[in-house]
Amino acid sequence: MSIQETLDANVDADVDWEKARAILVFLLPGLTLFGVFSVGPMAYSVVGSFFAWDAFEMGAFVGLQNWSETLTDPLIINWDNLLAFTFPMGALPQNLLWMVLHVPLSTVLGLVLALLFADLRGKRILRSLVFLGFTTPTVVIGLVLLFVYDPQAGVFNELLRVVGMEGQVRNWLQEPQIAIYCLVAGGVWVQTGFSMLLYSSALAGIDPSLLESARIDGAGPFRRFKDIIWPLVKPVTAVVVIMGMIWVLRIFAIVYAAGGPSGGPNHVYSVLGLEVFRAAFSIPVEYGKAMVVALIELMFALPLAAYIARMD
Amino acid sequence: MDEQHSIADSATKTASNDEQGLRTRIERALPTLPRAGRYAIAIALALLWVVPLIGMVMASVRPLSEIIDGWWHLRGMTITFENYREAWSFSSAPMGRAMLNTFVVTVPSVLVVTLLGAMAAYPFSRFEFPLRKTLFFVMIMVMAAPPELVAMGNYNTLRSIGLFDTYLGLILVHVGWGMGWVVMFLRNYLLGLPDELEEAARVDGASRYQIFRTIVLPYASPALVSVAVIQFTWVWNAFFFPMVFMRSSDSVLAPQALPLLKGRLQIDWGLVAAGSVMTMIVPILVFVFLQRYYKRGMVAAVAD
Repeated sequence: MSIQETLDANVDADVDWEKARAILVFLLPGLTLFGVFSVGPMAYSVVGSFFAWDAFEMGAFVGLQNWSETLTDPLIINWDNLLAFTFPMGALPQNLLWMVLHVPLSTVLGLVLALLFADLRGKRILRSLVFLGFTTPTVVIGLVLLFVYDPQAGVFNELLRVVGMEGQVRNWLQEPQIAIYCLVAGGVWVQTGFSMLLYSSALAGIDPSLLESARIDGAGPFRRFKDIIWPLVKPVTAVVVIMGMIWVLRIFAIVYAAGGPSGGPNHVYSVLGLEVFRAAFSIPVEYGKAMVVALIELMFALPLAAYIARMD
Repeated sequence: MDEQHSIADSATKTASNDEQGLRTRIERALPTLPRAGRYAIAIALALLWVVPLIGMVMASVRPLSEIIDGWWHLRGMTITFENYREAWSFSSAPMGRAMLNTFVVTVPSVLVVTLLGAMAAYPFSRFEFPLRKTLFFVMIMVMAAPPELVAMGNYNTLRSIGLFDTYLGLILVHVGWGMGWVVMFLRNYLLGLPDELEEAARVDGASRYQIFRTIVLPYASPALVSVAVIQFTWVWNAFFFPMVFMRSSDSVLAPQALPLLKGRLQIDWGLVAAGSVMTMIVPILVFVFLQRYYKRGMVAAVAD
């Protein structure tokens, strides 16, 4: 009732109380859980990143100390290796490299597959096959990749043997300078299904007679794509790109399953999520560092959120 | 071009109209050469896409020695369900228990977030109230934010209220985390609900709660199914939250148990594969049977 009282004190008398109470009844249960388990902990991380931590207990205010320590931590950014472009470069550059490769590849492949399947019979089955990986738990994807790249039992190495590149057979996920690319390929494999799905639904809205008349008018495949298809799938591309970026920012289970909590040998494919997990929940517990790393992730996510909000 | 000539030729030669019709029908049904090529490429690519998953399924039903030799060798293949039996009661991470735990966490997480999300989405789609815009942006922010950001706070919260390492604790975290996108999604859907329906009901003396139950919920039912299906896959597949909040070996969830099946020195692929297939079969079946809702939801959730 205290909410009712505070409202009473602040709002004009001509408020429709019955309606206001109904709104509260509808909103409160959901928003309470949202506040306690989502917004609250986020604010907690923001505040906590400026405090010292004794395991899980908040200590004294330390200003930017957690931030400067984290940003000079070679596990987060290893400047020497970054400038020489040798792994491990730290979780932040590795995560960003992953994003830079993953997003364009999965977007373009998704569009290509959507176009390829668009007017074929049995397209629903073809699409479902490609989409299957996206419904699979990401931890299983990580294990599948571990299996695919296994030197003996892995189908990728068998493929190399078949095409006569036996010299290249190896445990790909243990190769410091190559492993991350192998995992990126796995991520693209999964996310292509998602971008293909979105592009397919956009392509379904294109009038086939429009394409037909363009063909009759002598427009080649490239012209038809540029003038008819692209303008219609362009808005979807923004969504596909944003969702791809969020997906890569949140990447965790694939890396954990393929390379353990360290993120591969000597952390060569560690990502930000993994660093948060290790900092917060393994000895020694470094809550301040974990919060800073999670906030770095948020900083990359915020412009995306702003873009989504503007689209609405 | 040649094909068309031969149709024309045969058309003049054959006397029977029926036969001619049949021939053209067959010619039309068969794809032209470039089209046949596209079919071949499309089918090859789609199969290529599932090869890694097929490998998992094959490994799950074969003894380790045959897996090490390569699951793609089909000669002398022994089919066994020993891997499943062993994974089901594996000592440090029994998949049987883990699957049960995952069900116990997933089902309530989905039902609660769907119901409470629908309730909260209704005022968002209909009424003006203070802080509406701010809440709106906060929800979008949470949709884009990484789950790691809420792990530390929730860890301390669950510890202090005694819900750490319990089903209820993880369920609450999942509900709180899913609320953002569910409310946004359902709010977008409810914007399409015509005002007149509600007004007519109000004239008839229905309360706001009755309107919600008898008009809003039935109207939103396709969207509610979409939300439930997508949320089910996400919660079932979730790895990070269970890793943080479920610790004792009795409460481990299926995705969490899978890396534990690897063993120490030589990876026991059979066990890993059997556990993986068990875990992934549930969301895949949900997808196959409720594909329509899943796809519609995925597209609407992000494209609106």
